[in-house]
Amino acid sequence: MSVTKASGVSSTFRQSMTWVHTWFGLTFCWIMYFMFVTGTLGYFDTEIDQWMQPELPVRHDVSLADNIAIGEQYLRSNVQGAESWYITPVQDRHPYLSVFWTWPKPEPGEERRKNGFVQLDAKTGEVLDTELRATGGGQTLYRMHYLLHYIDGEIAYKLIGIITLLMFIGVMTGIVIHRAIFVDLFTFRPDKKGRAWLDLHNVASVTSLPFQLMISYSGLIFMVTTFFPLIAIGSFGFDANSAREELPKLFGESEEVRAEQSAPLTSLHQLVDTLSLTANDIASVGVHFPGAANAHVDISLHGSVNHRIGEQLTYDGVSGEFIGSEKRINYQSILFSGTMLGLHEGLFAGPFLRWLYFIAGVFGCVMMATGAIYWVQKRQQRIKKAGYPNVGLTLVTNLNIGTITGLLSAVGAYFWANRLLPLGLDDRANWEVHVMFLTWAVCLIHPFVRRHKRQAWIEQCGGVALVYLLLPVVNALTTNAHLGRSLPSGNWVLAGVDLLSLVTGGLAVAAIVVLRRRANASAQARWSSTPSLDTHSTSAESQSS
Amino acid sequence: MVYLHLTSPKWLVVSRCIAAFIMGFIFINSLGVTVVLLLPGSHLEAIGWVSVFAFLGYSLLVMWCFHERSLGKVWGMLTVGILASCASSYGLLAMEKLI
Repeated sequence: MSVTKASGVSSTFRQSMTWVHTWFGLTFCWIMYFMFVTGTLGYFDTEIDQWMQPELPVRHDVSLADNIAIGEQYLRSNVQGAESWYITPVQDRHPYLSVFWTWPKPEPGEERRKNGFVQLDAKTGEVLDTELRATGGGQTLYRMHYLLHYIDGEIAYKLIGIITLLMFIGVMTGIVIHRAIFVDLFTFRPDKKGRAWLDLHNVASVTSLPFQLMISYSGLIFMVTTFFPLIAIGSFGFDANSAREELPKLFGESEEVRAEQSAPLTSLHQLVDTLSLTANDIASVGVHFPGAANAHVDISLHGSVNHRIGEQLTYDGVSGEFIGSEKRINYQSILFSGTMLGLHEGLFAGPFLRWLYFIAGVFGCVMMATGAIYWVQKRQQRIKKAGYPNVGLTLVTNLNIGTITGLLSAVGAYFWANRLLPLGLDDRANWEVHVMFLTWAVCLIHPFVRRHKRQAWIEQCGGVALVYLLLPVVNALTTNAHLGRSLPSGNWVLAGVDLLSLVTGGLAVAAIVVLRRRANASAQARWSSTPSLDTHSTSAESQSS
Repeated sequence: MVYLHLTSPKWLVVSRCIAAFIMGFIFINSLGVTVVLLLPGSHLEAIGWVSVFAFLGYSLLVMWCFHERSLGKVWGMLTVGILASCASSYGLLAMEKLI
């Protein structure tokens, strides 16, 4: 790379954007890969929750009104004086009946009480013992994609914001680089030396381009209030007080206060029973100021991309009278950003669309991985000609091996830990995460001590294969939620995790076969030509067969 | 990044990054305030739209900073932009008697 190119200055826009794409991408590709892996799994967060707590009963056969009745009963007898209650019934993707409540704003000097959350058995009304097998579940895994772990949440969130910005710029510059996007769709040249990884990178990115644009930009929209609060405050003449007064209106937050007078709350389950709704139509049943004279019930409905900007039915909390069906948001810009956020989370997606989300996410992982591998491969050929080892190249290769395959093993280890850690272990949920990151640490160190990088790739693929092919076996040995039961009973949530694990393991085996074949081919080539070239076989991708 | 500094004057890249990300950030903020005040219609709606597209503007600005050949021009344009948008937003705030 010439000096001018390396300092980001080139004659054409396309060249300079190639520089940006390459270096922004390379610097953060491993964290982006981590975000893609954990975020993609997040599209199946509640399914993973169920797999990780197979003891908890899932009651899909309880009616909506009975669900609400159970939640209501718990809240009435256990939670008094709350600001609001929320009941979420058992739904297709919400496996447990849960209640959530918030407390009023504290008086000056008082400490704010922590909001409450309890999961209930929708049939018996018992509080589910989620500590029986304490686990982080799919939620912890999903939260990592925007909060990382072990780092203060606020700092991590900002860091993720910056990386998301670079990701979005990466996608934009990627579009600039590829003049012929349509052609890239059909270009795969596995035999052409040095092009296979680039082609794979292009195919993965281009086919999922709308998703990649959406996911990175909507990710940024989550960050707007964190990064650009000054635009809003500044436009009020930097008067933070009037900004604080005005801005909540944008998000449809009311400034209602609880009435002094108290009044008995209307029966929630009877109210819900009068509606022709099923549990899947409802995002939640909320009660504001329960027990006060101005209490009201808000039934927020699914059916739009983001239920938080969708419709809600409001009822008087005392008389149970219908007040109205209202849009919560009256600003086009907030509807737009709310739609983007809804698209990002994909909570509205049914099974088919959810799988599309998952596949697009996997393409994102492939995009990051192949991009990083291609970076190494492209430079390797040049450096081989120069004939000396390159520190940077070796470092990137090692990080590639330790992250691309290592992170997969680590996530698998997280699932193993869920089954194998003793149930009585203190801080068990955290230990699952520790096991995940310890495994990743081992996988990151491993390539640094292996001289032959192709061998390191093969060994790590072996690790991935082992972890994922054996996971269903471990599951069968430790629980009753194994394939032998989940398949015959048609429990696709539990079976899905095991099956996907087998598929992942199978792909790792396929990768080993390909790598071995290439290793043999290049060994033969070496015998017939100069033997001195392989002193630094920096990666498995160095030669195509 | 190790590879990068072996072959290029590192500080040029660092300077360009600071201009793009920090100066650019300041510029987008000050420009954002100006645009909110200039947009017709509801003030809150204007805040909403500008906030939603602030990151798009920021991204394009960063891309420009890495495209422009002259580093001096990058710093110069950003400085002028910041000063101009600060002045105009101050003027607009004063006109609306918000400051």
